[in-house]
Amino acid sequence: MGIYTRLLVKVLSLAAVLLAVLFFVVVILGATGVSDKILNAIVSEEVRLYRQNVAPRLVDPVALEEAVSKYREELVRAYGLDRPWYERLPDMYLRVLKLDLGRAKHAQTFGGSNKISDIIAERLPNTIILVTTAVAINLLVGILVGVRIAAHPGTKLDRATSLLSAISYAIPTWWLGIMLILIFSFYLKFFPYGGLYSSPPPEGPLLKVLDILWHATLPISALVLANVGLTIYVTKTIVFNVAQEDFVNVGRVKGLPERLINRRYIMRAAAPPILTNVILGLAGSISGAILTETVFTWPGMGSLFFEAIIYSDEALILSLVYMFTLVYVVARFVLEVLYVIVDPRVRI
Amino acid sequence: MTGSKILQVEDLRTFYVTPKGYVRAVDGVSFTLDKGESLAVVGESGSGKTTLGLTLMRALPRNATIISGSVLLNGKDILLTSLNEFREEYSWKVISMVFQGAMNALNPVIKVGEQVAEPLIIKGRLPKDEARKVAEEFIELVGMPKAFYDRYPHELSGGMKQRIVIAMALVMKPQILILDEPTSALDVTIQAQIINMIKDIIENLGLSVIFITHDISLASEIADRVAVMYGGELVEIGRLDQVLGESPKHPYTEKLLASLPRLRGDNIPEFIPGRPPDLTSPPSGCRFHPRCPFVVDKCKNEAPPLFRLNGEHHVKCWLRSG
Amino acid sequence: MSLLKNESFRIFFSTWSGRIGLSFLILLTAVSIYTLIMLPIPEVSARWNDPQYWADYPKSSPPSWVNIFLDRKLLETVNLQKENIEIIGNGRLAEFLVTYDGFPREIIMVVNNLKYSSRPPVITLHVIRPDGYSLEITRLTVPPPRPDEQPPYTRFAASPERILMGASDDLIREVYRLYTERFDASVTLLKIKQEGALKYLFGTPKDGEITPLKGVYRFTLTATQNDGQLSVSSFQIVLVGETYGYMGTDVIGRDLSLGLVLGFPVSLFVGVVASVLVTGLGATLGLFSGYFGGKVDNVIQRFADFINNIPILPLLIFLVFTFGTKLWIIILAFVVFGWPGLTIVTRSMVLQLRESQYVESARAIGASNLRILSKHIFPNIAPFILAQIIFLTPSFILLEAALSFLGLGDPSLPTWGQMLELGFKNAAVYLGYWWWILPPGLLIVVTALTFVMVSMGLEPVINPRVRVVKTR
Repeated sequence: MGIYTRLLVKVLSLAAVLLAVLFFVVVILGATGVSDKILNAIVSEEVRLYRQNVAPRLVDPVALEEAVSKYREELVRAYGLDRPWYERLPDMYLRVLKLDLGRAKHAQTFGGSNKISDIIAERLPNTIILVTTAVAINLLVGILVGVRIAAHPGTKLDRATSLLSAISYAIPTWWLGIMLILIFSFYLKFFPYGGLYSSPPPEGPLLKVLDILWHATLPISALVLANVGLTIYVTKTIVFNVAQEDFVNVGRVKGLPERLINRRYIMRAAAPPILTNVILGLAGSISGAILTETVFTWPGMGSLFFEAIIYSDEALILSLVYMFTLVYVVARFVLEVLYVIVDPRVRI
Repeated sequence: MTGSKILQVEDLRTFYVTPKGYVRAVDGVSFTLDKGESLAVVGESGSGKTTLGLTLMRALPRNATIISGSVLLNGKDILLTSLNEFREEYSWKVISMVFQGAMNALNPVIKVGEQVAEPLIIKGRLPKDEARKVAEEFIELVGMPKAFYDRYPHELSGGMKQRIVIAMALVMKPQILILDEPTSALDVTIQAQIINMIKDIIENLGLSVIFITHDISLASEIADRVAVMYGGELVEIGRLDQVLGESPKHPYTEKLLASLPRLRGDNIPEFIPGRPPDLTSPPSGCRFHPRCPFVVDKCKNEAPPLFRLNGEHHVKCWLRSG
Repeated sequence: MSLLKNESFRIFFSTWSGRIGLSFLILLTAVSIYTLIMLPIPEVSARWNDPQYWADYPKSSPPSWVNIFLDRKLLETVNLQKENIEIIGNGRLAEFLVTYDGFPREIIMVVNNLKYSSRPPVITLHVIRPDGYSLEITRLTVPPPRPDEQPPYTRFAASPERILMGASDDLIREVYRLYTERFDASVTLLKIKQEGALKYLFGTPKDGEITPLKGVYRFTLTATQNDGQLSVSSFQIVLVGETYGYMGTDVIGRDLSLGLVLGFPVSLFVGVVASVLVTGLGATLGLFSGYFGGKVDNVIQRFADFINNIPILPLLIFLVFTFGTKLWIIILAFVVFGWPGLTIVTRSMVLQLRESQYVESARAIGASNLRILSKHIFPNIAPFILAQIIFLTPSFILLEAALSFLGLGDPSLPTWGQMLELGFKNAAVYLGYWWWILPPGLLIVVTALTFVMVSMGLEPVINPRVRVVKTR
């Protein structure tokens, strides 16, 4: 049927994007010599572990060195470091695809593992919680207020909305976050400076959840406040334009009650373009996550990116680029599904 | 003709408020409609005919105001009721309209059948399944398979959308139907089909019809009587044979008829020189005088009343005053 | 062709956002031009990045004017200087009198270009406190002549000798002696070291606490063991206070007003250049894509769709991280990710125009493609392109600030984003150094907002349907 073919096309094109991006990234890493660095680091780490394991048994230093060199040679051959980078391409590509991402230079999970896949697994839910909540609140407030204002065009409220949305667009979310910390954490001491929970975390599940909420308030506020102005403006414009359409008037003349007109005629017809705007804003939400998590030291994938930059951790950066693209692609797909449900016109 | 008067319009004025001033779109229009009768309202764009239709349906845009006049529907002035009451009791139930531009009259995200059924459910208080059955009947009535109930507007061609809009207008079995340019966006063959369908329905349902169009030849297919509008005024009204026949007419009507190309005969269609009047400041006296080939001084100074020519034939012209 | 009579300008100016936006834009441009003229950028940038230059400035200090609002005034930085000193033999080199009430953060002595002719002298700095007690703060032994050197012996010329005395052991011991012998106070060396010797140097015990000793302090520089000629270009004593300048200082001691002012031309440059390049590339591709159609169109559209489906910031981070944090690389990365949006919109506009009567008739006459493009198509999309340039500028300003904040900015250019980066990394937020984090962010917002407002003002010019006609 119409819906499924369109969705299939979307899945394929999004998957193609993911694969192409990964290819592009891996090629760049190879061509600039960065992948060499990454693999050498992996080899060195494995050699070190090997040496640790084997040293107690091989007391003779000469024999130890021989064994270690042999192991290193094997590893070099296994990782393809003795071949040019483009021959190693498919290997590295597949490895990242399978999420075999190597180890981080500095970052660690709570339990002490520095395997990148473990670290990401630990941090990803935090990011998703933060971003999803912020986007949800943003949309809720934005749409409700935008609809209200669309009913009163040309008033001072309308002008104020334009100004508010302009400011919203111009304010960096991360700077707003910093200012919120300054005001509410430093001066007023209402909220914590950052992090996911207090240390030590409180006892009991309810208190734990409240603690996390308390920590999440400022970052979510920053994400919402810096973006809601734009959402209100866009919603207002879309709803206003839809409300001018002929079929809305026809609905009124048919004698349908105003509440029905609002719901079935205005909002349902406005839903597709509003959703389109959400899709367009998705990339922005992701970058918002990276920067906001950094500011609030929220232990998610975003602040991990920041750490990766500080420590020049190439393997981590590669993994994060891949993961972020993956998350984006999945989120995008979910929204596309919603879009198809909401707009019958695209179900070719 | 002993049909009772189902609609009596008296001195109706509807103006639009614009930055340049008031647009006198409908400026003192009066006519009646008999039960079971079809009246064509003919005029060029800007003559006020659509505004007239919208006024009768009280479906005017926000910047329009009904300045004065009365519209008696079955004897009751519907302009005096509140908009809410009108929409509850009269709109769609007693008087209904097929708006200009069917493509835009349909909600793009809701199934067309549901849109036809909506008034039945909301105003007719019918349960959903019964409403669906009735809606399907009307969909068939306009010549479409009832399976189209579940289609969306973008899946329909222009002609199909037009039919659905007609079905939608009829679903509560109104007494009066106003049709505003129901075929102008369609190509000629479809046009003929739709017109024939409309004629059948009018007969089957015993509707009283106001048919708004710029195409006078189309009017001749359906109408019992014809009203000609120019510059916001009703300049001629009469039976079809009177207005389109040989008897003396308003110069504008004559020009309209002369501009029709004929299949047989070798007369070259004439055009009407000049431009439609600016309705924010219409010409003095008779509004047609700047373009009238028979203009005399009196036409420029005094607006003529509707002179009765013969029985039901009235013409608003000094020439016909004797 | 009077600008004021031009209809487009009048429409633009009639919007409140256009008026405000334009005035701010003029202001920004004026400040940028002034900065470029008055401050030679390469030199000043180098100075900005040279910690040595800022060594005498108080670190992480609020601006001086905060004292207006405070009851207990923060100390200003006091600079005492004497130049061109010459003596023969031992004697006093310089004397400074300072009225002081408070504890300075640091005392710095700077000796510049010292020449001696015989034995290497010893320079001593003494202070006589208001209560009469005298302490030796520091003793500088000038390096002796080298085996192959001839008099006069020049020292501290290439780089001045800078001595920070606040934490020196000598001072701690001197202060300890004063307090135990004269004040009979119970202090330990450790305590003095922990609390800072300067507190004790400039304070006096009172009710068990050390309170500031208000009064005149006499600083004397003396030369001993000198038996020849001795000349010094300049002596400087800096009592580093707690405030500085109009906008305060950062952790290195840099005067933030310099950084803020330098940021104006840089942010305008990055925003406008990136915007022009992106719009230029995107519109050109859209033009070709829409006009010529066919394979070219397909390829370009595929590319555009592909890039539109990528989350920008992670890839941007990756590119800048891998290829280097140079400004032109950053701008190039912006262009790589920015062109699709414009291409798609331009293409649809061109598609419409291509079917217009003008183009059809032009083609019927036999006009060349170039002629059609330049005479019929381009003039119709030109206003839109111009509006896009202005509309895109703030996004690039914000993007550059975000990259800088993450540490991927071009370090040779001072930008507001980088100031915020440094502030954040040095915990300015947690320490409440509002003067460091409020102004740069505010300037970013104002600059971006200016362009947004100009865009909003341009909207009715480009899109006539949006014009609001004043009703009588």
